[in-house]
Parts: sequence; C-alpha cells; structure tokens
Amino acid sequence: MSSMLKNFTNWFKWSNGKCDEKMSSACEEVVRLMQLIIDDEASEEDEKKFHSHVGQCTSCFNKYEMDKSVLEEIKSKLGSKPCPQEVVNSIRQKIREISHN
Amino acid sequence: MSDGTIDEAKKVKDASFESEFMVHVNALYNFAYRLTYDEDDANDLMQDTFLKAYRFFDSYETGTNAKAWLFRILKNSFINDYRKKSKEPDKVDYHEVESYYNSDGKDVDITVDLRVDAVQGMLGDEVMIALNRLDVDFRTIIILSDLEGFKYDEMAKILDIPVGTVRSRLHRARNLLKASLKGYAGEMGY
Repeated sequence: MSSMLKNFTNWFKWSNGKCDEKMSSACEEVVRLMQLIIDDEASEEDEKKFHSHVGQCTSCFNKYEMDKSVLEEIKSKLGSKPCPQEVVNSIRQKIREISHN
Repeated sequence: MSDGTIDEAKKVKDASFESEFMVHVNALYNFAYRLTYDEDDANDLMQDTFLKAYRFFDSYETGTNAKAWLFRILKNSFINDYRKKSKEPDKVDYHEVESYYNSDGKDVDITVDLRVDAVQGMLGDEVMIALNRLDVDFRTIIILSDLEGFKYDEMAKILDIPVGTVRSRLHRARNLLKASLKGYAGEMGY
C-alpha cells in the first residue's frame, strides 16, 4: 500500500513536467546526478545516463537548464577585488628578511 | 656547497616562488578577506600564509597545484590562528558542523528552485551579500568551487574532508545561497 502511495506521489510531483510514472525513480537519480553533471564531475557512464534521460523528460530538462543558468549567473556576479599593493609589498619584504638569514 | 651554488639555488627558488606563488595573491587575498571580514586580519593571514609557503617550499613539488597548496595553507592558518579569536563566539563548533554534514543523505534531495531571470535582475552586491551571510564553511566551499573553480578532489585536499562531504556541503551551500537570493527576488517582484 505504501509503495503504491509513493509511486503516486512521485508521479504527481513530476506530472506537470510530463515525466511519466515509469521514469519517476530515474528522475530522482537524475536530480541527484545534476550537480555532478553541472560541475563536470560525473563519470562517462553517469553522463550518458543523465543526457539520455533529460532528452526524454521535459521536467528534468527544464530543471537542468535552469540550474545551469542560475549557477552561471551567480558565478558571473561573484566579484573579487585585487590584493592591496601594501599587502604584496609586505609579503615580499618579509620573504627578503627571512631569506637573508 | 660553494657560495655560488647556494646563491644560484636561492635565485631559482625565488624565481619559482614569484612565478608560481605570487601570481595567486589576488585569489588568496579575496579568500582571506571573506574568511575574516577584516583588512588587518586578512593582511596578517596573507603574510602568515606566504611565509609558511616560502619556508616549506621544499615540500612543494614545482609545477604541481600551487594554488590549491596555498589555499590549504591559508585555510589551516585561519582555523588555527583566527578561528580561536573569532568575532563569532556563539557560532557552532567547526567539528560539529563537519560531522553533521558527513552523515549520508542529509538534505541531499532538497533543492531550491530559482529562476535565472530573477538572478539576472540582481546586482553583484546582492549576490555578494547573500554569500557573506552564509556560515563560514558554506561560504568557503562556494568560494572555492564557484569563484576559484577548484574541482571536488582539490577541495577535498584543501579542506581535509572526503569528496562525498565536498559534494553534499556544496549542494547544501548552493541551496542556502539560492534560498537567500530567492528572498531578494521576491522583494523585486519575481
């Protein structure tokens, strides 16, 4: 009874993405793999599995595209400032001091 | 060893130090600043790190991952020297946080949905503020991964944690960041 309920819940969760019932556990695995894929850390086998699934599943495809874009956007907005010159100078000064001993 | 040879060896060392280590000052300074939020502390952390790197230069293999090596030294200096005099005395103990996130399955399946057009509408400041609000461990892993581009195994070495922990901590950190940004997005009408 509870596994039937679980299957129904999964189907309901993914139904708006037209991902059919048989794919639901595959979707869960794909979502787990998504970070690895986006970070280019997945095995070749997992990559094949992933791309084969998102090619057929609208919901997962959309989620993948969105996650990729959001991460790219965040990365582009993570600013950084240059190291102050006085810090660089102090480092070089200290190195000079210890290397002359 | 003659004086000439010693001088020559020193020249080679100094040249390597300059070309392999000093090139990373900007990245390291940003990391130091984001850990301490204090220019003087960041400065001290930088001095400390580069001096250690120079002293232990012989244990570094030329041409290998200098950036990761330096980040690891800085992170360890931070934990040893600055964490103790942290301005956040009521924060959770470092080891407690680590062991919590070492356990499998915690929060792995929770994801935050955030629309890309919402993030596009944001200024860099908002993203940085959201980043700065994260706990130091989550902030660190976002910096290492998304700002500095380290791979999982590099981060595992820098942070002295298993690759599995890198994955789960990064996943959690990104969700926290997205959740924070989602708040801003809501305010902006997305």
